[in-house]
Amino acid sequence: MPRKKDEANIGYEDAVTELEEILEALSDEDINVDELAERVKRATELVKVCRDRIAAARLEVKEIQLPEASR
Amino acid sequence: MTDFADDTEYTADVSINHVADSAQSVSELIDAINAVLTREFREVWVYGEVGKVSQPSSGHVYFDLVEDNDGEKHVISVKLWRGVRQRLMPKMKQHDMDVVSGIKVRIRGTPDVYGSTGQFGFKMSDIDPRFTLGDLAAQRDEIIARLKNEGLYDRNRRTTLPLVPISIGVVTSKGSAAHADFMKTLEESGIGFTITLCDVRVQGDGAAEQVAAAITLLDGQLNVELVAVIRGGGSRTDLATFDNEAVARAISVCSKPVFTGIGHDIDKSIADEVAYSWNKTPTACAVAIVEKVNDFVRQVDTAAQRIATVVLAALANSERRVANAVGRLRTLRTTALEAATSRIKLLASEIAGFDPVVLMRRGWSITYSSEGKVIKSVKHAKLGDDVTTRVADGAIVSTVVVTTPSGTNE
Repeated sequence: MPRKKDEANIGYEDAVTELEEILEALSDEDINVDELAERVKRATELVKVCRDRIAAARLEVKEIQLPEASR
Repeated sequence: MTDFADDTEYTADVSINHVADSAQSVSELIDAINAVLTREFREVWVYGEVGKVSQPSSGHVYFDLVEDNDGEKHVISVKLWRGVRQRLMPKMKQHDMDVVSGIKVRIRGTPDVYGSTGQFGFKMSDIDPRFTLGDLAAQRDEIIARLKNEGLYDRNRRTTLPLVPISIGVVTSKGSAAHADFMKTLEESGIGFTITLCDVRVQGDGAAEQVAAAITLLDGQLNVELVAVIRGGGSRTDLATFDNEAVARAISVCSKPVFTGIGHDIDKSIADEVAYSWNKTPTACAVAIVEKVNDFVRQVDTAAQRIATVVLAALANSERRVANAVGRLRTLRTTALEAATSRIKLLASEIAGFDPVVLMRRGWSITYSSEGKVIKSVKHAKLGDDVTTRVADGAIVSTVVVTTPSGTNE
Protein backbone atom coordinates (compact mmCIF):
# COMPACT_ATOMS: atom_id res chain seq x y z
CA MET A 1 0.00 0.00 0.00
CA PRO A 2 1.21 3.51 -0.67
CA ARG A 3 2.41 5.48 2.38
CA LYS A 4 -0.26 7.95 3.22
CA LYS A 5 0.86 11.16 4.78
CA ASP A 6 -0.84 14.34 5.69
CA GLU A 7 -0.66 16.37 2.47
CA ALA A 8 -0.16 19.66 4.32
CA ASN A 9 3.01 18.41 5.96
CA ILE A 10 4.50 16.03 3.44
CA GLY A 11 8.04 17.04 2.50
CA TYR A 12 9.10 17.47 -1.10
CA GLU A 13 11.62 14.64 -0.73
CA ASP A 14 8.91 12.31 0.61
CA ALA A 15 6.53 13.32 -2.16
CA VAL A 16 9.05 12.50 -4.87
CA THR A 17 10.03 9.23 -3.21
CA GLU A 18 6.38 8.21 -3.03
CA LEU A 19 5.80 9.16 -6.65
CA GLU A 20 8.75 6.98 -7.65
CA GLU A 21 7.32 4.10 -5.60
CA ILE A 22 3.93 4.49 -7.23
CA LEU A 23 5.56 4.53 -10.62
CA GLU A 24 7.41 1.33 -9.83
CA ALA A 25 4.24 -0.35 -8.58
CA LEU A 26 2.34 0.75 -11.68
CA SER A 27 5.03 -0.71 -13.89
CA ASP A 28 4.25 -4.13 -12.44
CA GLU A 29 2.21 -5.95 -15.06
CA ASP A 30 0.29 -7.89 -12.48
CA ILE A 31 -1.29 -4.82 -10.86
CA ASN A 32 -5.06 -5.09 -10.81
CA VAL A 33 -7.30 -2.35 -12.09
CA ASP A 34 -8.67 -1.38 -8.65
CA GLU A 35 -5.18 -0.91 -7.27
CA LEU A 36 -4.14 0.92 -10.40
CA ALA A 37 -6.95 3.43 -9.91
CA GLU A 38 -6.05 3.98 -6.27
CA ARG A 39 -2.37 4.52 -7.01
CA VAL A 40 -3.11 6.94 -9.81
CA LYS A 41 -5.43 8.90 -7.53
CA ARG A 42 -2.68 9.15 -4.90
CA ALA A 43 -0.10 10.21 -7.49
CA THR A 44 -2.40 12.93 -8.76
CA GLU A 45 -2.85 14.24 -5.20
CA LEU A 46 0.91 14.32 -4.63
CA VAL A 47 1.61 16.17 -7.85
CA LYS A 48 -1.11 18.70 -7.03
CA VAL A 49 0.20 19.28 -3.49
CA CYS A 50 3.74 19.90 -4.77
CA ARG A 51 2.68 22.22 -7.56
CA ASP A 52 0.22 24.16 -5.41
CA ARG A 53 2.63 24.70 -2.59
CA ILE A 54 5.32 26.06 -4.92
CA ALA A 55 3.15 28.16 -7.18
CA ALA A 56 0.11 29.24 -5.19
CA ALA A 57 1.74 31.14 -2.35
CA ARG A 58 2.70 34.74 -2.94
CA LEU A 59 6.28 35.89 -2.47
CA GLU A 60 6.73 37.11 1.08
CA VAL A 61 9.43 39.41 2.41
CA LYS A 62 10.42 40.03 5.99
CA GLU A 63 13.40 41.91 7.31
CA ILE A 64 15.78 41.22 10.15
CA GLN A 65 18.27 43.68 11.61
CA LEU A 66 21.89 43.15 12.51
CA PRO A 67 22.55 43.63 16.21
CA GLU A 68 23.69 47.18 17.09
CA ALA A 69 27.25 46.01 17.68
CA SER A 70 27.56 44.89 14.06
CA ARG A 71 26.27 48.14 12.57
CA MET B 1 54.87 87.00 32.92
CA THR B 2 56.82 87.86 29.84
CA ASP B 3 59.99 89.79 29.31
CA PHE B 4 57.94 92.52 27.70
CA ALA B 5 55.93 93.09 30.88
CA ASP B 6 59.02 94.02 32.81
CA ASP B 7 60.51 96.20 30.09
CA THR B 8 59.98 99.83 31.26
CA GLU B 9 61.39 101.17 27.94
CA TYR B 10 58.76 99.32 26.03
CA THR B 11 56.67 101.14 23.50
CA ALA B 12 54.28 99.46 21.09
CA ASP B 13 55.83 100.90 17.90
CA VAL B 14 59.38 99.96 18.74
CA SER B 15 58.35 96.48 19.82
CA ILE B 16 56.32 95.70 16.66
CA ASN B 17 59.09 96.94 14.42
CA HIS B 18 61.58 94.91 16.37
CA VAL B 19 59.49 91.72 16.11
CA ALA B 20 58.72 92.30 12.45
CA ASP B 21 62.38 92.73 11.66
CA SER B 22 63.32 89.37 13.19
CA ALA B 23 60.21 87.32 12.19
CA GLN B 24 58.24 86.11 9.20
CA SER B 25 54.55 86.26 8.66
CA VAL B 26 52.57 83.00 8.84
CA SER B 27 52.26 82.82 5.10
CA GLU B 28 55.95 83.54 4.65
CA LEU B 29 56.81 80.74 7.03
CA ILE B 30 54.45 78.35 5.33
CA ASP B 31 55.83 79.32 1.95
CA ALA B 32 59.36 78.82 3.28
CA ILE B 33 58.51 75.41 4.72
CA ASN B 34 56.81 74.38 1.49
CA ALA B 35 59.85 75.57 -0.48
CA VAL B 36 62.05 73.30 1.63
CA LEU B 37 59.62 70.41 1.33
CA THR B 38 59.41 70.83 -2.41
CA ARG B 39 63.18 71.00 -2.74
CA GLU B 40 63.81 68.00 -0.52
CA PHE B 41 60.74 65.84 -1.21
CA ARG B 42 59.47 66.77 -4.65
CA GLU B 43 57.51 63.96 -6.26
CA VAL B 44 58.37 61.17 -3.83
CA TRP B 45 56.66 57.80 -3.78
CA VAL B 46 55.01 56.68 -0.56
CA TYR B 47 52.96 53.60 0.23
CA GLY B 48 50.44 52.69 2.91
CA GLU B 49 46.87 51.61 3.46
CA VAL B 50 43.98 53.90 2.63
CA GLY B 51 42.13 54.80 5.81
CA LYS B 52 39.18 57.13 6.05
CA VAL B 53 38.13 58.55 2.68
CA SER B 54 35.99 61.63 2.14
CA GLN B 55 34.79 62.86 -1.17
CA PRO B 56 32.92 66.16 -0.90
CA SER B 57 30.89 67.56 -3.76
CA SER B 58 33.84 69.71 -4.83
CA GLY B 59 35.23 66.64 -6.59
CA HIS B 60 38.44 66.63 -4.55
CA VAL B 61 39.18 63.47 -2.59
CA TYR B 62 40.78 63.47 0.87
CA PHE B 63 42.02 60.34 2.50
CA ASP B 64 44.32 59.12 5.23
CA LEU B 65 47.34 57.09 4.22
CA VAL B 66 48.10 54.82 7.15
CA GLU B 67 51.02 52.68 8.24
CA ASP B 68 50.04 50.40 11.08
CA ASN B 69 52.94 48.82 12.91
CA ASP B 70 51.22 46.41 15.26
CA GLY B 71 48.81 49.03 16.50
CA GLU B 72 51.25 51.94 16.35
CA LYS B 73 49.76 54.09 13.64
CA HIS B 74 51.41 56.67 11.43
CA VAL B 75 49.11 58.76 9.34
CA ILE B 76 49.46 61.35 6.64
CA SER B 77 46.53 63.26 5.08
CA VAL B 78 46.45 62.99 1.33
CA LYS B 79 44.79 65.47 -0.98
CA LEU B 80 43.79 64.30 -4.41
CA TRP B 81 42.67 67.40 -6.24
CA ARG B 82 39.83 67.10 -8.70
CA GLY B 83 42.02 67.91 -11.71
CA VAL B 84 44.62 65.30 -10.75
CA ARG B 85 41.90 62.75 -10.09
CA GLN B 86 40.41 63.35 -13.53
CA ARG B 87 43.85 62.91 -15.07
CA LEU B 88 44.43 59.64 -13.16
CA MET B 89 40.93 58.27 -13.69
CA PRO B 90 41.59 56.53 -17.07
CA LYS B 91 44.60 54.75 -15.59
CA MET B 92 42.67 53.61 -12.52
CA LYS B 93 39.70 52.53 -14.62
CA GLN B 94 41.95 50.55 -16.90
CA HIS B 95 43.08 48.56 -13.88
CA ASP B 96 39.58 48.42 -12.44
CA MET B 97 40.51 50.17 -9.22
CA ASP B 98 39.57 53.20 -7.20
CA VAL B 99 40.80 54.78 -3.99
CA VAL B 100 38.71 53.09 -1.32
CA SER B 101 39.20 52.37 2.32
CA GLY B 102 41.19 49.25 3.17
CA ILE B 103 43.30 48.92 0.04
CA LYS B 104 47.04 49.37 -0.14
CA VAL B 105 48.31 52.09 -2.46
CA ARG B 106 51.63 53.41 -3.72
CA ILE B 107 51.24 57.08 -4.58
CA ARG B 108 53.48 59.87 -5.76
CA GLY B 109 53.32 63.51 -4.66
CA THR B 110 54.82 66.26 -2.58
CA PRO B 111 54.33 66.89 1.13
CA ASP B 112 53.15 70.35 2.05
CA VAL B 113 51.56 72.51 4.67
CA TYR B 114 48.17 73.77 3.60
CA GLY B 115 47.96 77.50 4.25
CA SER B 116 44.28 77.74 5.07
CA THR B 117 44.37 75.13 7.81
CA GLY B 118 48.02 74.81 8.70
CA GLN B 119 47.64 71.12 8.23
CA PHE B 120 50.54 69.07 7.07
CA GLY B 121 49.64 66.79 4.23
CA PHE B 122 50.55 65.22 0.94
CA LYS B 123 49.49 66.45 -2.47
CA MET B 124 49.02 63.39 -4.60
CA SER B 125 50.02 63.54 -8.27
CA ASP B 126 50.18 59.90 -9.39
CA ILE B 127 49.33 56.32 -8.40
CA ASP B 128 50.79 52.90 -9.17
CA PRO B 129 47.80 50.56 -9.74
CA ARG B 130 50.03 47.48 -10.06
CA PHE B 131 51.05 47.88 -6.44
CA THR B 132 47.42 47.82 -5.28
CA LEU B 133 46.41 44.96 -7.52
CA GLY B 134 49.51 42.99 -6.66
CA ASP B 135 48.79 43.45 -2.99
CA LEU B 136 45.13 42.43 -3.46
CA ALA B 137 46.23 39.33 -5.36
CA ALA B 138 48.82 38.44 -2.75
CA GLN B 139 46.29 38.95 0.07
CA ARG B 140 43.78 36.88 -1.81
CA ASP B 141 46.25 34.03 -2.30
CA GLU B 142 47.15 34.12 1.37
CA ILE B 143 43.51 34.00 2.49
CA ILE B 144 42.69 31.14 0.13
CA ALA B 145 45.74 29.21 1.31
CA ARG B 146 44.70 29.70 4.95
CA LEU B 147 41.12 28.58 4.24
CA LYS B 148 42.40 25.48 2.44
CA ASN B 149 44.72 24.63 5.31
CA GLU B 150 41.85 24.83 7.74
CA GLY B 151 39.58 22.73 5.54
CA LEU B 152 37.22 25.66 5.06
CA TYR B 153 37.76 26.30 1.37
CA ASP B 154 35.08 23.95 0.07
CA ARG B 155 33.15 23.41 3.26
CA ASN B 156 30.07 25.36 2.11
CA ARG B 157 29.98 23.36 -1.11
CA ARG B 158 29.59 20.22 0.99
CA THR B 159 26.34 21.48 2.54
CA THR B 160 23.13 20.00 1.19
CA LEU B 161 21.00 22.08 -1.11
CA PRO B 162 17.32 21.47 -0.34
CA LEU B 163 15.30 19.90 -3.13
CA VAL B 164 13.08 22.98 -3.17
CA PRO B 165 14.95 26.02 -1.79
CA ILE B 166 12.01 28.32 -1.26
CA SER B 167 13.01 30.18 1.93
CA ILE B 168 15.85 32.50 1.02
CA GLY B 169 18.00 34.68 3.29
CA VAL B 170 19.30 37.73 1.41
CA VAL B 171 22.34 39.80 2.36
CA THR B 172 22.39 43.03 0.39
CA SER B 173 22.11 46.78 0.49
CA LYS B 174 18.37 47.32 0.70
CA GLY B 175 17.00 49.42 -2.16
CA SER B 176 20.09 49.01 -4.35
CA ALA B 177 19.79 48.16 -8.05
CA ALA B 178 21.29 44.76 -7.20
CA HIS B 179 18.55 44.13 -4.63
CA ALA B 180 15.86 45.22 -7.12
CA ASP B 181 17.24 43.00 -9.92
CA PHE B 182 17.37 39.99 -7.63
CA MET B 183 13.82 40.46 -6.32
CA LYS B 184 12.41 41.13 -9.80
CA THR B 185 13.61 37.75 -11.06
CA LEU B 186 12.23 35.93 -8.03
CA GLU B 187 8.86 37.69 -8.33
CA GLU B 188 8.56 37.01 -12.05
CA SER B 189 9.13 33.29 -11.46
CA GLY B 190 5.67 33.03 -9.87
CA ILE B 191 7.17 30.83 -7.17
CA GLY B 192 6.04 31.55 -3.60
CA PHE B 193 9.47 32.34 -2.15
CA THR B 194 9.84 33.52 1.44
CA ILE B 195 12.56 36.15 1.68
CA THR B 196 14.34 37.14 4.87
CA LEU B 197 16.29 40.31 4.09
CA CYS B 198 19.23 41.62 6.07
CA ASP B 199 20.24 45.12 5.03
CA VAL B 200 24.00 45.76 5.09
CA ARG B 201 26.58 48.18 3.81
CA VAL B 202 28.38 46.44 0.95
CA GLN B 203 31.31 48.83 0.54
CA GLY B 204 33.38 51.18 2.63
CA ASP B 205 34.17 51.13 6.33
CA GLY B 206 32.70 48.20 8.24
CA ALA B 207 31.09 46.67 5.17
CA ALA B 208 32.92 43.34 5.44
CA GLU B 209 32.06 42.99 9.13
CA GLN B 210 28.38 43.69 8.38
CA VAL B 211 28.22 41.23 5.50
CA ALA B 212 29.89 38.53 7.61
CA ALA B 213 27.57 39.20 10.57
CA ALA B 214 24.50 39.11 8.29
CA ILE B 215 25.48 35.73 6.83
CA THR B 216 25.91 34.32 10.34
CA LEU B 217 22.61 35.87 11.49
CA LEU B 218 20.69 34.36 8.55
CA ASP B 219 22.39 31.00 9.09
CA GLY B 220 20.79 30.95 12.52
CA GLN B 221 17.26 31.56 11.19
CA LEU B 222 15.23 28.34 11.21
CA ASN B 223 13.17 29.27 8.17
CA VAL B 224 16.15 30.10 5.95
CA GLU B 225 17.25 27.28 3.62
CA LEU B 226 19.71 29.16 1.43
CA VAL B 227 21.65 32.42 1.85
CA ALA B 228 22.12 34.75 -1.14
CA VAL B 229 24.84 37.42 -1.00
CA ILE B 230 24.02 40.15 -3.50
CA ARG B 231 25.97 43.20 -4.69
CA GLY B 232 25.82 45.28 -7.84
CA GLY B 233 28.75 46.01 -10.11
CA GLY B 234 31.75 48.02 -8.99
CA SER B 235 35.48 48.30 -9.44
CA ARG B 236 37.75 45.57 -8.17
CA THR B 237 38.75 47.71 -5.23
CA ASP B 238 35.10 48.60 -4.53
CA LEU B 239 34.41 44.92 -4.18
CA ALA B 240 37.21 44.45 -1.64
CA THR B 241 34.48 43.57 0.88
CA PHE B 242 34.02 40.26 -0.88
CA ASP B 243 37.73 39.50 -0.81
CA ASN B 244 37.68 39.98 2.93
CA GLU B 245 38.68 37.05 5.08
CA ALA B 246 35.88 37.51 7.62
CA VAL B 247 33.29 37.33 4.82
CA ALA B 248 34.96 34.25 3.33
CA ARG B 249 35.00 32.54 6.73
CA ALA B 250 31.34 33.38 7.40
CA ILE B 251 30.40 31.82 4.06
CA SER B 252 32.60 28.75 4.60
CA VAL B 253 31.16 27.87 7.98
CA CYS B 254 27.55 28.72 7.06
CA SER B 255 25.51 25.52 7.49
CA LYS B 256 23.27 26.47 4.59
CA PRO B 257 24.33 26.75 0.96
CA VAL B 258 25.47 30.27 0.06
CA PHE B 259 24.76 31.61 -3.44
CA THR B 260 26.66 34.74 -4.49
CA GLY B 261 25.59 37.32 -7.04
CA ILE B 262 28.37 39.87 -6.89
CA GLY B 263 28.35 41.95 -10.01
CA HIS B 264 31.79 41.72 -11.52
CA ASP B 265 32.88 39.37 -14.20
CA ILE B 266 36.61 39.96 -14.33
CA ASP B 267 37.60 37.87 -11.34
CA LYS B 268 35.98 35.64 -8.82
CA SER B 269 36.07 37.21 -5.38
CA ILE B 270 37.09 35.04 -2.45
CA ALA B 271 33.42 35.01 -1.44
CA ASP B 272 32.68 33.48 -4.86
CA GLU B 273 35.51 30.99 -4.43
CA VAL B 274 34.10 29.53 -1.23
CA ALA B 275 30.37 29.83 -2.01
CA TYR B 276 28.16 26.84 -2.84
CA SER B 277 27.20 28.53 -6.09
CA TRP B 278 28.71 31.68 -7.57
CA ASN B 279 26.94 33.78 -10.14
CA LYS B 280 28.15 36.79 -12.04
CA THR B 281 25.22 39.06 -11.31
CA PRO B 282 22.35 39.36 -8.81
CA THR B 283 19.94 38.42 -11.60
CA ALA B 284 21.97 35.30 -12.46
CA CYS B 285 21.94 34.37 -8.76
CA ALA B 286 18.12 34.63 -8.64
CA VAL B 287 17.85 32.63 -11.88
CA ALA B 288 19.99 29.85 -10.36
CA ILE B 289 17.65 29.61 -7.35
CA VAL B 290 14.50 29.71 -9.51
CA GLU B 291 15.99 27.00 -11.75
CA LYS B 292 16.59 24.75 -8.76
CA VAL B 293 12.90 25.01 -7.78
CA ASN B 294 11.81 24.56 -11.40
CA ASP B 295 14.00 21.43 -11.60
CA PHE B 296 11.82 19.96 -8.88
CA VAL B 297 8.60 21.03 -10.62
CA ARG B 298 9.90 19.38 -13.80
CA GLN B 299 10.81 16.25 -11.85
CA VAL B 300 7.25 16.04 -10.49
CA ASP B 301 5.78 16.73 -13.94
CA THR B 302 7.97 14.03 -15.46
CA ALA B 303 6.83 11.56 -12.81
CA ALA B 304 3.21 12.52 -13.54
CA GLN B 305 3.76 12.00 -17.27
CA ARG B 306 5.49 8.69 -16.70
CA ILE B 307 2.61 7.59 -14.49
CA ALA B 308 0.14 8.57 -17.21
CA THR B 309 2.17 6.59 -19.76
CA VAL B 310 2.39 3.56 -17.49
CA VAL B 311 -1.35 3.69 -16.76
CA LEU B 312 -2.20 3.88 -20.45
CA ALA B 313 0.16 0.99 -21.11
CA ALA B 314 -1.39 -1.00 -18.25
CA LEU B 315 -4.91 -0.36 -19.62
CA ALA B 316 -3.80 -1.31 -23.12
CA ASN B 317 -2.25 -4.43 -21.67
CA SER B 318 -5.52 -5.32 -19.91
CA GLU B 319 -7.46 -4.85 -23.13
CA ARG B 320 -4.98 -7.07 -24.91
CA ARG B 321 -5.44 -9.77 -22.28
CA VAL B 322 -9.21 -9.62 -22.63
CA ALA B 323 -8.89 -9.88 -26.41
CA ASN B 324 -6.54 -12.83 -26.02
CA ALA B 325 -8.99 -14.59 -23.71
CA VAL B 326 -11.80 -14.11 -26.19
CA GLY B 327 -9.61 -15.45 -28.96
CA ARG B 328 -8.66 -18.47 -26.90
CA LEU B 329 -12.32 -19.16 -26.11
CA ARG B 330 -13.15 -19.11 -29.80
CA THR B 331 -10.32 -21.50 -30.57
CA LEU B 332 -11.37 -23.78 -27.72
CA ARG B 333 -14.96 -23.86 -29.00
CA THR B 334 -13.86 -24.85 -32.49
CA THR B 335 -11.60 -27.55 -31.16
CA ALA B 336 -14.36 -28.95 -28.98
CA LEU B 337 -16.74 -29.07 -31.91
CA GLU B 338 -14.24 -30.86 -34.04
CA ALA B 339 -13.57 -33.36 -31.29
CA ALA B 340 -17.27 -33.96 -30.82
CA THR B 341 -17.80 -34.37 -34.52
CA SER B 342 -15.11 -36.95 -34.91
CA ARG B 343 -16.37 -38.75 -31.83
CA ILE B 344 -19.80 -38.86 -33.35
CA LYS B 345 -18.39 -40.13 -36.61
CA LEU B 346 -16.58 -42.83 -34.74
CA LEU B 347 -19.70 -43.73 -32.86
CA ALA B 348 -21.67 -43.73 -36.08
CA SER B 349 -19.20 -46.06 -37.67
CA GLU B 350 -19.30 -48.29 -34.64
CA ILE B 351 -23.07 -48.22 -34.67
CA ALA B 352 -23.05 -49.00 -38.38
CA GLY B 353 -21.32 -52.26 -37.49
CA PHE B 354 -24.52 -53.36 -35.83
CA ASP B 355 -26.84 -52.60 -38.80
CA PRO B 356 -28.76 -55.89 -39.60
CA VAL B 357 -28.55 -55.16 -43.31
CA VAL B 358 -24.78 -55.13 -43.09
CA LEU B 359 -24.82 -58.28 -40.99
CA MET B 360 -27.18 -60.03 -43.45
CA ARG B 361 -24.78 -59.30 -46.29
CA ARG B 362 -22.25 -61.31 -44.38
CA GLY B 363 -24.73 -64.23 -44.24
CA TRP B 364 -26.57 -63.54 -41.06
CA SER B 365 -30.40 -63.67 -41.23
CA ILE B 366 -33.37 -63.00 -38.97
CA THR B 367 -36.32 -65.38 -38.72
CA TYR B 368 -39.79 -64.16 -37.74
CA SER B 369 -42.70 -66.35 -36.58
CA SER B 370 -45.96 -66.23 -38.42
CA GLU B 371 -46.97 -63.75 -35.73
CA GLY B 372 -44.10 -61.48 -36.80
CA LYS B 373 -41.96 -62.02 -33.73
CA VAL B 374 -38.24 -62.55 -34.00
CA ILE B 375 -37.38 -66.16 -33.22
CA LYS B 376 -34.43 -65.98 -30.84
CA SER B 377 -34.84 -69.48 -29.36
CA VAL B 378 -35.91 -72.98 -30.52
CA LYS B 379 -38.59 -72.59 -27.91
CA HIS B 380 -40.22 -69.82 -29.96
CA ALA B 381 -40.48 -72.04 -33.05
CA LYS B 382 -43.73 -73.97 -33.15
CA LEU B 383 -43.82 -77.11 -35.22
CA GLY B 384 -45.82 -76.53 -38.43
CA ASP B 385 -45.58 -72.75 -38.18
CA ASP B 386 -44.75 -70.91 -41.35
CA VAL B 387 -41.78 -68.81 -40.46
CA THR B 388 -40.26 -66.04 -42.57
CA THR B 389 -36.46 -65.74 -42.82
CA ARG B 390 -35.17 -62.37 -43.93
CA VAL B 391 -31.87 -62.28 -45.78
CA ALA B 392 -30.07 -59.33 -47.32
CA ASP B 393 -31.95 -59.38 -50.62
CA GLY B 394 -35.34 -60.83 -49.65
CA ALA B 395 -37.29 -63.32 -47.54
CA ILE B 396 -37.70 -67.11 -47.47
CA VAL B 397 -40.83 -68.72 -46.03
CA SER B 398 -40.37 -72.21 -44.47
CA THR B 399 -42.38 -74.57 -42.34
CA VAL B 400 -40.98 -75.73 -38.98
CA VAL B 401 -40.59 -79.51 -39.15
CA VAL B 402 -38.34 -80.13 -36.24
CA THR B 403 -36.61 -78.09 -33.51
CA THR B 404 -33.34 -79.20 -31.98
CA PRO B 405 -32.00 -77.29 -28.95
CA SER B 406 -28.23 -76.89 -28.85
CA GLY B 407 -26.32 -79.71 -27.16
CA THR B 408 -28.84 -82.43 -28.15
CA ASN B 409 -28.39 -85.14 -30.80
CA GLU B 410 -30.35 -84.60 -34.00
